[in-house]
Amino acid sequence: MIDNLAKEIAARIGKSKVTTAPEDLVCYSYDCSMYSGKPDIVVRVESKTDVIHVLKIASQKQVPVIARGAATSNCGAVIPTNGGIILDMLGMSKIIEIDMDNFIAVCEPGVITAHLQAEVEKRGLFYPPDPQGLSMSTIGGNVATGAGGPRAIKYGTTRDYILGLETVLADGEVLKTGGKVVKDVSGYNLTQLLIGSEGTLGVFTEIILKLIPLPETKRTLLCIFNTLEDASVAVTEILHHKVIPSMMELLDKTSTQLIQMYMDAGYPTDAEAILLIEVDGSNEDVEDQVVIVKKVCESCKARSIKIARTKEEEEAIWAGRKAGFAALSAYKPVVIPEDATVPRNLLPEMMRKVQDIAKKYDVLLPTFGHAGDGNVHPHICINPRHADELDKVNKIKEEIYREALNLGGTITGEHGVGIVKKELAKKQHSKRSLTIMTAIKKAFDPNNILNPGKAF
Amino acid sequence: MEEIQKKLKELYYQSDNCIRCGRCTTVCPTFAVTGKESMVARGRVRLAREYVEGNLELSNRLKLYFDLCLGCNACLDICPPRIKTAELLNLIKTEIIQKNGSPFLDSMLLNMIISRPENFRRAMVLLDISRKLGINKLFPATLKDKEKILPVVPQKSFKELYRHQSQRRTGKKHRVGYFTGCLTNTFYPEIAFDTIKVLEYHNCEVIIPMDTVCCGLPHRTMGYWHDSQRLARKNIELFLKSQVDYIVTDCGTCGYALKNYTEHFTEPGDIKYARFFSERVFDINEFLVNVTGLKVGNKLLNGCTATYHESCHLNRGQKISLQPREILKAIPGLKYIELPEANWCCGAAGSFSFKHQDIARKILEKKISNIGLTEAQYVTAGCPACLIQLDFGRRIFALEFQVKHPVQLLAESI
Repeated sequence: MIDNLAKEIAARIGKSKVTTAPEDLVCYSYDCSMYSGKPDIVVRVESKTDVIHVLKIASQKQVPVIARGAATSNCGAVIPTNGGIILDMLGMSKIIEIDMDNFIAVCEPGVITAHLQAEVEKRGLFYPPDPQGLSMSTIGGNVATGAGGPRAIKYGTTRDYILGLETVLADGEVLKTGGKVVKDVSGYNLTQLLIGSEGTLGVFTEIILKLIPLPETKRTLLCIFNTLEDASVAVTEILHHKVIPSMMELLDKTSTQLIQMYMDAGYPTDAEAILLIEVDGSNEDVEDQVVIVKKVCESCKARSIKIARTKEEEEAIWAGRKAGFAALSAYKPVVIPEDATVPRNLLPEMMRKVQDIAKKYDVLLPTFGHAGDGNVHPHICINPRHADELDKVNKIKEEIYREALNLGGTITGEHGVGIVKKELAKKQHSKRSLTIMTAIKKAFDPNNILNPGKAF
Repeated sequence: MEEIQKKLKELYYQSDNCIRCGRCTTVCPTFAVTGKESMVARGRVRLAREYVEGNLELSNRLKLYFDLCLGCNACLDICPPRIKTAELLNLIKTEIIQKNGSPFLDSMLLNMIISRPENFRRAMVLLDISRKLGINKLFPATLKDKEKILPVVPQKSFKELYRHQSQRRTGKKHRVGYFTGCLTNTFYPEIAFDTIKVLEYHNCEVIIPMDTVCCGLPHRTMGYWHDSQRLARKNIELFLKSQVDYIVTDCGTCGYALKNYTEHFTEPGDIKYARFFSERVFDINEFLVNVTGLKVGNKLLNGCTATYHESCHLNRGQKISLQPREILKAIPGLKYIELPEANWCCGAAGSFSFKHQDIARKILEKKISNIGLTEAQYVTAGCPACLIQLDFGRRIFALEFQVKHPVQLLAESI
């Protein structure tokens, strides 16, 4: 049956785009999560027409279809749990237009996030969303997962920059939502509904993005605190002083120690918390912001404050943070980044809870995160060859999220639900909202062929 | 067999640490031109693991996928847990050959021709004769395309030319052994002569053991572990006999192989000799800048412009990146222009450019378009394999530049 299906697709869109070779299927069976599952067919789509053809055939045969970008998801969002067709979207990677008058970019879903950013920055424009994997992730994947990043505190996430989408629905019909307009209140906002839907509602074929002017300059500060509480108070106080940094990253002591073991990033190993702060704007504005941030941190008992004077110094400060994940994976082979998000003012409480959990299970839970938006990433580091460590994972996870929900937070700020957090999502949402979500899914995809079993 | 199994197991366990982050997708040349997951370290590691675990049979397609890695190690540099993908694949290829025997053509090529410099030279002379007689036009299409990659074969090889000169003993400061790489010997004897000229100018007495054999890297990367051991032993022995202080080569690939001879062996005795040898090996660029101290000549190369392409084996393999640039910048009158994405592989990668022409050509195309941007008159590289490939690129994309080894330009100033 699979052979026939592959032949039918190949006859429609071309033989070279379709493969069922076991060696190829293996390569599309994973993402950054611990899970994997083999698809039956991998199809490299190169145009909207290709996508339409595949979905028409798939819906007829009722076969699962999973759109895959760079597979940098760490929640299992692109794992074929039940076989089916992987749509490899990397063949659709054109930037169609950069509209300088409307500050808009139009692109295909397979464009790499960093490529788009580089292209618009050449023209003095700025696409701010900055998920950690932006040098490999795709815009389509970012939209499908509603990807965020450190700059969310000032600039928001992918969601805030999508004006319109062209989506192929389960039956192969094309749905256009939104457009090149920044104001649009006609009907339900289906564009926003599609963002973060993890490929369960449709396959994007064209994306209209909002751009803003590129800030003139930026400056980085490294602030060291003896206690977590002092650092957290500083976060709130900086915002009270009407400075919104473009990034405000908090690293706990376990993280700075592991990073220092991996490389010399110039971080202390005896301080409870450090804050990496970047401010941006016009030249004068940035100078003012630096002065305020410095003063506030001093008044919050910062032990030391380093202001980067050159681009090299700036890069050196961020190098440690960027190497964070690498440092942890050098410590243990499997690193599971958790993604709890709580109201910003409750961040220190959340971080204390994480420390308690680490003590209880006798593990290291190095935690860093986006302090400005209450999004923390405790990392569970294990060696899967040690059964006792593997056993702890689910218990630790459950406790972290129980605390996050108790504090009025969410189980995932930016990583998504995928298959990894399905059970947790059921805990977070009320019965009624789950019923509504199920009805929405049915309206878009009555036969449940689009990335089945994901998102909620 | 046992030693291979042991090493393979080590690397297999190391690959547990692949977090599938996909950073390798940002630097891998084969992924850049194909966009396919089977063409990047993340996919290759997975395929290797599934094969080792017995979940994938050894199909022709799988063998092909294992063979489609350039071995440029760009992924290793950017990989957070530093997984040695290229090395893992080499070991798997070795294991496959030990278990199943080798493809006839490969082993013939490696044992009869590449292992022996004189036979390699003879094969290339035959090629030259068939070109002159026009027989090459009768080659089957696949062979014809491959043949085009190679440049004109000089009348005489370096070793043939050098035989007629007496080896001087002059009591200079350093006693240096020159390792003649097969490609330098056959295609670029002038590079060898310039290397010797430059070494002598830097107060070195140059000894050239004439019986050196292939460095063994082709055998190693294609999975012929024992042959590479045999070749390594022979070369080590020759240089120990000639009692030199240093061993210098002008080939980035040979240098990389010679410096890693310890990895070819598992016996402590072998390793000891290999280490003694490898510690004395220097690339010519490195040797001039770090050991003797660079001395340029007085002749001006006014109006000349040069750029520099990084050979993977020199840059990532030996961490030699600044030295060749330092030499070029120091040459009087020569204007140095930095090549965009200088460390992007040229697609030569040993036999890769011959075996997988489509992919190699796409990789080369990007290199050549960057070269075009520099408008440099000389395109330099520290490895003759890269020079052959870059020169091939010049011919097929009809650009006007000359390929040179940095020491050639340095020699011109002397």
